[in-house]
Amino acid sequence: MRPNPFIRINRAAETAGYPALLVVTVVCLAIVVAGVALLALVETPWAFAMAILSLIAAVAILSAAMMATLFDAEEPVARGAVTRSSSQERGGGRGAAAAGTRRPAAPARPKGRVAAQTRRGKDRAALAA
Amino acid sequence: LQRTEQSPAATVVSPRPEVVLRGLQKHPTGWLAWLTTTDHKRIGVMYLVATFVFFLLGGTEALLMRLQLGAPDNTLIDPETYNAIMTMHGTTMVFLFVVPVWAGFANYMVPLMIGARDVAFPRLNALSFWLLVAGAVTFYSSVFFSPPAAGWTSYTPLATGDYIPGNGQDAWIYLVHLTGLSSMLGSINFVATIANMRAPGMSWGRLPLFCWSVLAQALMLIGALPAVAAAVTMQLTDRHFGTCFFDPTCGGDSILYQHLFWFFGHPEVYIMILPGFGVISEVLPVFARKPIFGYKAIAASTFGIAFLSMLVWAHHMFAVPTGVIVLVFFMVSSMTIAVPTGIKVFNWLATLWRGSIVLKTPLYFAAGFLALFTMGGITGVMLAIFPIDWQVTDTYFVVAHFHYVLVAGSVNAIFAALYYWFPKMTGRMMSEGLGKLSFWLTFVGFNATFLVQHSLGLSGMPRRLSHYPANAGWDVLNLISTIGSLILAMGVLVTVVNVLVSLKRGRRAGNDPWKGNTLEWFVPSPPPENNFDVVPRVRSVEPLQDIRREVGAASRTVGTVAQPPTPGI
Repeated sequence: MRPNPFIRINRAAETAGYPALLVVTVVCLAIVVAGVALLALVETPWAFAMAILSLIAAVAILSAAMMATLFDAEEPVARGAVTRSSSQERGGGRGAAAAGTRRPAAPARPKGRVAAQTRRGKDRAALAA
Repeated sequence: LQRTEQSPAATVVSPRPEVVLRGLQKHPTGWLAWLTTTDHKRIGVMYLVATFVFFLLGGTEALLMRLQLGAPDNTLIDPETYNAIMTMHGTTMVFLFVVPVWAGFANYMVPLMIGARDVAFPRLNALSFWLLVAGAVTFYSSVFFSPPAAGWTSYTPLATGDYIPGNGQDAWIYLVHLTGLSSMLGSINFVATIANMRAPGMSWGRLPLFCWSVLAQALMLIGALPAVAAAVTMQLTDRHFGTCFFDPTCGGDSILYQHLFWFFGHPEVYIMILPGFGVISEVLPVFARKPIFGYKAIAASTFGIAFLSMLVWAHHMFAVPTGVIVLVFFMVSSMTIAVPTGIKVFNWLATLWRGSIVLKTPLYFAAGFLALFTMGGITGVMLAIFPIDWQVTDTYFVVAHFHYVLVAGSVNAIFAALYYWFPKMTGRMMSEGLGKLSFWLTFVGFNATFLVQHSLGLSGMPRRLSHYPANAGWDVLNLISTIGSLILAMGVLVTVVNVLVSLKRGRRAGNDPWKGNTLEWFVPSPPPENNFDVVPRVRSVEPLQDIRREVGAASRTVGTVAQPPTPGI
């Protein structure tokens, strides 16, 4: 893995089940809105400088977060069961150790709607038989 | 599970799993099947049909306005009716066409593109569509009593009971609530679907660019819609329940409405255009026979645009008294959006550069988008400079600018998407001849309509004007604009005819008529109810190209190819 703190944060958040990019976006939005609110309140040059800096900082953070999200396109795909989701494939699923460690491929059990679809499929197959 | 105990001494049979069939639910057929469906493809088709009907309605309203403005001192439409038609046109195009038409394409295509068998919440998906219909019925029913007439922005105090006493304004408010709820539920659905239901191997870095744009659009809707919902709710209580949120005479602030509206309204512009960017990013590499240039840059710039669009709302209010230093900030932030947008445009051009161009109708519309949207972007940068904005605010220059963005941008992309994905949705090709005729008519008609409006605006013609005197010097350009709008309408009608004819008589499309890159072309046209019998493993941003290469390699080995490869190859 590349020595990039954003990639580590991204992987840790996704492994824990949080949408990393969304979290970073909200933080960046808060940074700029705070800067703009300050500017609207005091209307001074230093507040303007702070607002512009907050905008630059937010764009820089968001760019780094986006690149961290996209870096996995360069990773080779592990061969395994077709039913595994990409998130399981990437991060090892919930409970796996954070970045870099991967559990061996395990067949995932269908849940919820997928399980219902599978059951319906079996029902129809049984009826056809 | 069954546990059998025959006698106290008998052994207990170990639990054995069984499948028990209790009967299959009979599927409804005919119209009932469409009304009760939760299939993402059928819901997508219903979205598309409904929104194109609204498009034709909104277009008819636009033609009525252009006919009125075609000559000075025209008496075809009285000012009150003109205001109502203008409000209906703007509201229809924004809330009932451009935003939900993308929901239609996304509904149909996103699950197919990511290798899912449906969206995450199918019933919520159906509810989203029917909320849209409810909003439209509520809004258009106001035509029969007193249509709203305060414009699609419905600024206060114009939209208060003192000036617009009829209930049509309330119908507009309910439309915003119902369509907003529809968009919110749809957005939650798309975010959950894209985050959780991607095919094996489809990491974020391999997500199709149309899906990236739908994801960004969904997040923007979730972030921006509450602001307008709050604003119109306060307007409703101001109108009927004696509150004073926006009434300065009793302590309110009418500027507050503008801030709340535009906090939603500017992201709304990008909500309408971002999926169009996604479509262009899908169409260009397919018809240039080249991989998309700068996949990561395009995906990142999509999010960059979405983020920055939340921080520029006050540029719609440059004429409102505000400290200059605040205006400078919003000028800078507005101009910053040109950077990620420029990244996209250059990447699209680089994708076309030295490609093996296949000149089909979707590429015509995509190229038209590139040329005309860029013009809209350039006038946008001009308007972001607040001293220039002060000179042309509320003139036809602004009207020309946003039609270059929304008609030349969004509608060209919508037509590109329609011509590109129609074979997948129906199993039939559209007529290339009619498609290209439609493109040229819309291209010429659009420029004749709106290019001259820049000059009208610079000459001082105000927007939302129903009459103008003969000595104003605007008559020739307005006549050109009206003739252009009729040509534009003919172009749209040719596409409508093309759709209707091709549905019955179009050439059979097969699975993959364009040699596409993404997974929707892996399945039959139209796709079966379960989409995929097997979901292929994704190894790059062009999974179907990978499969094609593997099929080619296999055919060289075996000598013949009958079927696509099985997953896991």
